[in-house]
Amino acid sequence: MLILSRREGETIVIDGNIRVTVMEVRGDQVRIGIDAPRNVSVHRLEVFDQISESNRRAAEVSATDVSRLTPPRAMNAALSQRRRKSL
Amino acid sequence: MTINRGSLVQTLLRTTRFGDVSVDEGRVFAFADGLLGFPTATQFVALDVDDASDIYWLQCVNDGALAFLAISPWAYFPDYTPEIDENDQVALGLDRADDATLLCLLTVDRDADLITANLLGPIVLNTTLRRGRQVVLEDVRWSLAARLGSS
Repeated sequence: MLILSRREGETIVIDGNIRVTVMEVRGDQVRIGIDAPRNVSVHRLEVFDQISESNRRAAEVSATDVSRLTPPRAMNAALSQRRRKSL
Repeated sequence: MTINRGSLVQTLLRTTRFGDVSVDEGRVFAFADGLLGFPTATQFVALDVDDASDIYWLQCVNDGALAFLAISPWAYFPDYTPEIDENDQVALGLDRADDATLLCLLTVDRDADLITANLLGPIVLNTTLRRGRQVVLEDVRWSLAARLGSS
């Protein structure tokens, strides 16, 4: 891992078009500003890991698990009124 | 393998759950970034579970063994009001609400007979441009594992 020291207001540039700026340092918290092209996704690592893990568990759902799904009562009524759209 | 049928280009997809599925290439959604934890899963089709419900299988086209059960969440979570970040809207090419469809992935705990939906990282589809993206909501009110049918 590359480790750089930066002060408040200072920036690093990644790959020419991603800028990471230390906005504010207060106590044990650092506010970071990220300026990146819109196609670059930026996530907090904890959230990224949690959703990745949730996706891994979601990928284990089998075809027979569908029978466990019972539509809520309100939905049954609504379904008789309309057809859902095909994706 | 592709088969030309009139103007439609059909791809035969070998899946572990549904056997061989014929997929109209015009119905494939491109996920440029894959899903979180599945960066190479970049193409999906939405297969109907039945004719009546807002439940789909998001079957990966790149990997026949990979599929996710997904629901339109509002029948189960009427108070769910996700706000899609502008960057995500741009990535999806979304500028009309009519083009957007949102689905939540389901997880099943067979031992507990518990089904949960991921409301924090929903799948947003642009049904016109056929693009898809798993977005991460800023609002931590939305659960990663919201129980279905607990009420």
